[in-house]
Amino acid sequence: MGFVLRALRRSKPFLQSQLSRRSPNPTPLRWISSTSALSKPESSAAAEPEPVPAPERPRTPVGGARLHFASPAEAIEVFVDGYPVKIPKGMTVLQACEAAGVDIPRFCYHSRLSIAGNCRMCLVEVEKSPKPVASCAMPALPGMKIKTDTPVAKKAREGVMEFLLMNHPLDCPICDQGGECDLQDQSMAFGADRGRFTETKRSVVDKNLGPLVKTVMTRCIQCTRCVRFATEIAGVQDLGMLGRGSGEEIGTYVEKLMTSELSGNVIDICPVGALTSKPFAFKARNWELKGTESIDITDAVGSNIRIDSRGPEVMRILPRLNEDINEEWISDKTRFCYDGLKRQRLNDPMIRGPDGRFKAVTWRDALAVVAEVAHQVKPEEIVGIAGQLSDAESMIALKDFLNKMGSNNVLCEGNGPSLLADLRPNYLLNSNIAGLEKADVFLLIGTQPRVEAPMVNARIRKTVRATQAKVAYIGPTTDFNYNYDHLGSGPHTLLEIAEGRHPFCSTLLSAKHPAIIVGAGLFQRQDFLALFSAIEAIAKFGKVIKPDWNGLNLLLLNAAQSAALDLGLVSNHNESIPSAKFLYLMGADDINLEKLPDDAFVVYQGHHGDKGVYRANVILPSAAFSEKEGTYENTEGCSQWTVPAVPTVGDARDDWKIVRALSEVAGVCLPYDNIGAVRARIRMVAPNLLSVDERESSTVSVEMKPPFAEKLSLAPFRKAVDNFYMTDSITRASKIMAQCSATLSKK
Amino acid sequence: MLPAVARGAAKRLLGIRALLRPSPPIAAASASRSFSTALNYHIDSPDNNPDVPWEFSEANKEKVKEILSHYPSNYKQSAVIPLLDLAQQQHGGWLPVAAMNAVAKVIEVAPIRVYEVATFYTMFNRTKVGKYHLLVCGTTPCMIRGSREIEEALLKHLGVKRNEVTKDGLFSVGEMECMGCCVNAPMITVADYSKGSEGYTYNYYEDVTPKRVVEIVEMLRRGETPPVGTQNPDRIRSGPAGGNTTLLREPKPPPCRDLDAC
Amino acid sequence: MAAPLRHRTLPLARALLSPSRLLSSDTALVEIKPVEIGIVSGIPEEHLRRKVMIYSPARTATQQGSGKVGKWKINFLSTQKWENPLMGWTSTGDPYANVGEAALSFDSEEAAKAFAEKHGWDYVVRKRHTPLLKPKAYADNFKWKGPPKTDED
Repeated sequence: MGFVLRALRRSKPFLQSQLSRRSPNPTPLRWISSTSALSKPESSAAAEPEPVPAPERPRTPVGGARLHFASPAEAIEVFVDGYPVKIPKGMTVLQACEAAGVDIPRFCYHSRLSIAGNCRMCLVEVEKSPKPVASCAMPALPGMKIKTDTPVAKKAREGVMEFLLMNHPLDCPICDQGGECDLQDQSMAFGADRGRFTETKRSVVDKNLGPLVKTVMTRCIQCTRCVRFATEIAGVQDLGMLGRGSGEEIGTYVEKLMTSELSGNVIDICPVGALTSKPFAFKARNWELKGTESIDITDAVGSNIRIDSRGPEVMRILPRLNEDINEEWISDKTRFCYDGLKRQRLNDPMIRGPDGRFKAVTWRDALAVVAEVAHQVKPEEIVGIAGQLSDAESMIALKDFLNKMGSNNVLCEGNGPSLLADLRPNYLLNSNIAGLEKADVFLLIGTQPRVEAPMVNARIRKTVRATQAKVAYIGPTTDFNYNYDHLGSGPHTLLEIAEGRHPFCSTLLSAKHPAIIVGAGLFQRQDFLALFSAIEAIAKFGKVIKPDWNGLNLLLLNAAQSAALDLGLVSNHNESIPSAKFLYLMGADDINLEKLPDDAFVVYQGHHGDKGVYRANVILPSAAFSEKEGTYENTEGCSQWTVPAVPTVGDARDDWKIVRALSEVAGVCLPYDNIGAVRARIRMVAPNLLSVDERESSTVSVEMKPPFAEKLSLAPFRKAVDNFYMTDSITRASKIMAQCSATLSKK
Repeated sequence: MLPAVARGAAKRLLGIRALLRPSPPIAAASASRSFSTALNYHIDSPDNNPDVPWEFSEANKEKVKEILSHYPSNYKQSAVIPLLDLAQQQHGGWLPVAAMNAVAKVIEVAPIRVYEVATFYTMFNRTKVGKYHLLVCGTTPCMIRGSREIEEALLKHLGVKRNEVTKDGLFSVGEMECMGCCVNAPMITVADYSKGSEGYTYNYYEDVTPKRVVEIVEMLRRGETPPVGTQNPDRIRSGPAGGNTTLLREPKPPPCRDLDAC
Repeated sequence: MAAPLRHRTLPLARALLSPSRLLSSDTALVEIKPVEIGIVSGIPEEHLRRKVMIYSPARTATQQGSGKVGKWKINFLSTQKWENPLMGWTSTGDPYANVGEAALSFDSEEAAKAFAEKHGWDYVVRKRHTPLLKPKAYADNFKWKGPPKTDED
């Protein structure tokens, strides 16, 4: 923390002299005085005469931040500690300081929330201003001379800190925030070593916010970040600031649980230990944890996360910055599903004996049995199903293996019977998640983004809040956290819009950047192709696809879905399952196996003993996403990698390695034996999967696609996700998720 | 760093504070001093829970319309304070959760936004008060002129604690900060909720004495309205006792510079 | 926080200097070819062709501090660890298990790449995500909501 060092220097001139004596060239240390060589000529005349030995190095904004200039003409120049910095007009003083690489201490200010200006920690000195200025709320004006480490600023912050610490308990040794607490850090820089407050400290009753967020309200410093988060981002107006003066407290007034799917983020934004993670309480200290930067696979968004592990155990999951996908939030499912990684895991290969019980065997035996059965059935009776958590490597291995066995019945669950896998824009979120912020009209068809993809929903909500974009929805009744028009519940309304008979058509036509979002739940419908041609008709009619804007989006449900479509795992399960004699489930738990013949041999390869295991004859244990390297493509077609954070459980192996080993035992050896070679194979099928963190813009226009001449059934749309907290084998195994769905889901 | 002088000064300050510190029983009372009538969170009780039906009365619905008409239709939340006040008058001087919810519905905001306002302002009571809510001013001028004794007299006479309602539900005593009558200190305010929002009054009784407040309470109990304003018979409004001493003649015009001279 | 102190030296020199300190500067007499360091220093063969990941750790979402942001690290993708039955401590079978996280830190992507090349590691570089600063104002809290809506619905 830059300001800690600076403050230490300021408070200890002795240390400073020591430092400068040791290093012959003291320029890297920042001085309070401005650098005359770099400031404007007219101001340098007034600046101090002290010669500066070398020009200061160019400063980079805090955290490598990029500045968003609406137009170059809007730039203004301000001076932060004498260093000139160009910033867009309308930025605050605090943002100007950030652009100049100076991290201003703050509690209430958060870059993704509105500005409250109530903690006063960000006081800086501005030349010609009689008092210190709260930099978070003060607009930067051209030519402003901001001084961030003067004695005045430091004294002001020390005063603020003393007030903050007045009622703050001395809890740090038993506080879960200890070690990663902004108040702790900043009191190292600005706190006094003794208190002058002799009265008793106040105490506040703890609130019950549900099974995820633990509250110790006495620690609260009333920054109101959580209130603003709940109101602005999560869209559940439950939290508020109650009372006044020293009796002020954060709460819900009436007993109420926080029923947002994003509630876990208040744990992150709380600068003190008032809101901490309930499942993580007293489990570990943050300095014991090893962070691994990975991605989330519980939905199709691919939120960027950091998996914090201690030894062989995942301790918690935190969001990681990615402006294009999840900003800095993650959903509760992402954050708290980690305890599912430790429960109901499959450790050893197992074979179901004649008594119906599973018996642990060696890999050699298990693979031999599977290979033998696979050769006994006819090639077309072999079916492989990839699960919703499968990575691209394992899916290509499965496909190659089955193809070599002579079968082409490979599919991925959730992708439905009839598919448009030929053109990528037909199954991707073409306007990108970040691009949704440009849209001014949303038409949600058969999708409930709040439960299907909370991060996409947060984007839509952000757009609606910022620009009053209109949202229209077709589908079953559901709850949104923004205003919307419920146009209808089924294809009937869709046809009306397509034929221009619906009042919504005028809204759609007047929109500059209309965005249609189609839910992947519709893939399950028999008439999906007909539906899609109706949707395409709407897109054509509403001019949704323009040269610079593709607003026809599909919102997928599962992490594996788009990669499976890229790789061509597109068989129709309605046709293949009833005739299957050898079924290879690669983590597939949600596929309907009712029509499967009784004499079919089922191999379940996966990491959890979930639904798929009940019917399995052989179990092959594999690694979960926190234990393997894998490529996942998110719903906008951006591929990302998971990174192993912890070792696999028991005798489990990576999915693609199991398939590779099996292929060898079966005598159809796959030509790759390391992950690089698998990726080289992927390059031949879907090269886009290898350009990580990149999105290809879609250029396909509507005209190229043939219209579908299928009959549209008028059955209303159904919900794709029943229970937000339990959608896959990891979350179903999680105790925390079970608690959440018991207490938080609305019945 | 901290010189001995400063340490000495701090020690002296502590000493002075110890001298000023009142004797233990009063200290305990001042520690529990709270301005609001309730906690900053809600505890369900039979007469105060979100399921109790609550609605503005027919007459007050007209008033609600009138109040809302002061504000643009997309700024309805501006009406939160007048509406809470109206609800409080209608509900006998206090606001149950159901009333706050009703207000939130009228102004189309989340209930928590109304709770925030209602908990912030101490004149919104969130627990039961008496039909006559007596508010003793506790700010410095009144305190110096004996507001503590006044409060003590009231509490003793009514046999209640602060913010407690008498058994007959008629009276409760609370404390308020400065109500701007310092020239006639000490003073009490009587919020009269006995006649609903139509006959609601909020009267100041100034220059009170421990004896006089008891008389006022008894008059209220009998249904009379004591004369408002100063209770000192020698004074007229804020004038000095024994009649005015200044401004008895026609006021002289203010002295004015001769503007033509310059 | 030591970043500014080392900033003046050239990136290459820093790459060579920072963790191993085998050579004094970029004007060294000995020229190093890729992979050589690993061979010379007697590192076991199986660790010579390791797959590593070069990345720049993101700012911790729970905290404001940005002192460690902008550094580049090497992740050895090491998961060979287990809970030791004797004491319950974590054992590892990988000598590099704790190297990447704790010991290697580079000021730039190039330095990290050069280091990995020198050791002959097979590396991939992960994109660094940076925040986007957009103007925002306190006055937005009190922004005019526009004229009242007429009764249309």
